[in-house]
Amino acid sequence: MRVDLLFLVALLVVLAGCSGGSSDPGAGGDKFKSGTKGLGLAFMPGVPPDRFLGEGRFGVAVQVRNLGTSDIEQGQGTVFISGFDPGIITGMETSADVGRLSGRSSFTPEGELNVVEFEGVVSLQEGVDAYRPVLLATACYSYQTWAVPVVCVDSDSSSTGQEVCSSKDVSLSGGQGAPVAVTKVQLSPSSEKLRFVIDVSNVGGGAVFSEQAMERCSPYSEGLSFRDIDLVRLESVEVAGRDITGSCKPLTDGHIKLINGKRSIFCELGVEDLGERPAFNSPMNVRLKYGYRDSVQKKVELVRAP
Amino acid sequence: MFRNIFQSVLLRIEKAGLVVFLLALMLLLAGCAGRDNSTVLPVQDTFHTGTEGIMIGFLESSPPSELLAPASSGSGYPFKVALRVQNKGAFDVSDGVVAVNVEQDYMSLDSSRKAFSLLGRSFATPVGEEELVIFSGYTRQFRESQAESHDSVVVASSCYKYRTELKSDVCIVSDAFGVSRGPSSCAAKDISSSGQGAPVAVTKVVTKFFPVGAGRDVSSVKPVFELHLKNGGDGRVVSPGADVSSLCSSGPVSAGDSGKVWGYVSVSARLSGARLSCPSVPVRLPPEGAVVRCSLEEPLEAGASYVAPLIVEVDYGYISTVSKQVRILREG
Repeated sequence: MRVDLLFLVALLVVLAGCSGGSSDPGAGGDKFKSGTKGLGLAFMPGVPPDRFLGEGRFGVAVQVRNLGTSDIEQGQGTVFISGFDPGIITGMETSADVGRLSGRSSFTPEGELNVVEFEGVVSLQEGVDAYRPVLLATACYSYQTWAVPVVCVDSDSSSTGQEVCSSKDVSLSGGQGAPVAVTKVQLSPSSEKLRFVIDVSNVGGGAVFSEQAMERCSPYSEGLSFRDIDLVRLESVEVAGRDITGSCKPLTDGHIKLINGKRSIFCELGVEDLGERPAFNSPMNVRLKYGYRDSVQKKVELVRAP
Repeated sequence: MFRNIFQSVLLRIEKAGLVVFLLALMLLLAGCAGRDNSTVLPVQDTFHTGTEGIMIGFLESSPPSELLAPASSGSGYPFKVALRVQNKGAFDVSDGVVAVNVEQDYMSLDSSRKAFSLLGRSFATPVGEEELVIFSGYTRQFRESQAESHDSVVVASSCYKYRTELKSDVCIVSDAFGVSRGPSSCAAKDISSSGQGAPVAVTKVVTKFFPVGAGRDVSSVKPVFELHLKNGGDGRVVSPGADVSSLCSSGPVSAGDSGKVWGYVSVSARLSGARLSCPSVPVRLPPEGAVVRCSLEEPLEAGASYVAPLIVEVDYGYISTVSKQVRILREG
């Protein structure tokens, strides 16, 4: 009798040992440079409740998580609460700093999380038995994209000898851990210059705008104008150890103007700068900087107590 | 030996499995048991709908379709006029009057008018209050010597003051020019309705925002609401200032301070509790409807869009009438 019990226990131990263990987190770094999100927003469940009965203190809590790879420093991100009648939900602060939020890394694989809270007082006016606002939580923040596609640098495109690599387009899928992504780099070599066509897209689902217009991102401000939106600052483009930012065009005051959420820019590297050397693979560092806005909604019902 | 061990293990697993299954079943059944929903409050207001107010109707045999009248002088034959009066709207009536008119040459009533008070539809009275109003009368001596019968009609009218109340949420949008690219929790749109539980209906509310400020620097907006009104009932609208008791009499109707009687309503409105500026005198409501404009005196500061409660109240008097044919038969 005891033997069969022991057998059963042994079987269970073996099965437990065979179950999927935790995976090796890996070396870190590269595997976090993916994704198309910056800050992720969500109303905390129950705060506020879907239905609020009576009058009194009314709390709103918004979870903010840095789902991208760029760190957000204090003062670089703000969450705004809007969509409610200030005469009914009174005394509520409408903005809060998100604080310092580290991006995804081996130390914070899911990105750092913070909860911002707002509190007001519900006071239904005479004759109003129910009030159904749609609360809007809006995040406005500065962010960066750092793309590192590996391109083949070939100073002599006409060479027919065996080469380590050949000039071909590089597609980047899945993003770089930011809401604005470099999606493709096309190479167009000639006898004098290596031309790179870099495709930039807004892939985060929100609105991208010039960092300089951060104040106008707030829903309580005059709002972003056509001149503010879809602007991404080209910080730098480096390839083969050379900064070719100055050659990139078209730029508007150092910014890429997206059209329908995307744009291609053209940058060049002079072949003479490379000297006579065979083709080689080189990482191309593309850095972009911009402001970003995203929002989430929640329907709430405030009902007068019977 | 191993085969026996294995079979024994399988048997134990089967028994254990059965116990686990029964426990899971019990938990499932417990979870599926009906919850007590008695604390769940009703959400939708289903009472402020439709275009009915006070509805009156004759009872089947009161009056009967045929009445007997004496051929010679003397006491006539009694009859009753019984009316079911029901408040099918959402407003409480406290000073209504029901009046009955008969052909005086052939019939007479002890009393031609009676007052009534009826609560409208609400959570407390979902179908609205109703009562029976009964008038007593008798037939007079039959006048026509040659005729055997006379066709007449009994007319009943209800006269009362009523209020249409529209409660709705509107989106306050401060970007009057539509050039700002900002997130918005709502979109300004017209409100359409087929009735609010009263004979006069607010069929549509059109919201417009007019910027206030210098040049491009719009600092505030002034909301203006166009209220489309229409008489959706089968009666007549009377000025709210008119004397209700005189409405149902055959005498002249007192118009009240406004001096206007037939087809006039008073309109008032509030936005987020603040009173809107609406016409200060009763406005005329013709059969095809009317449009009334109300606006907020103090412009709203430009800011984030939000939902705000709008309450529109339309006050008026109302008269509705029903009739019934009766045949008066000469005795003898």
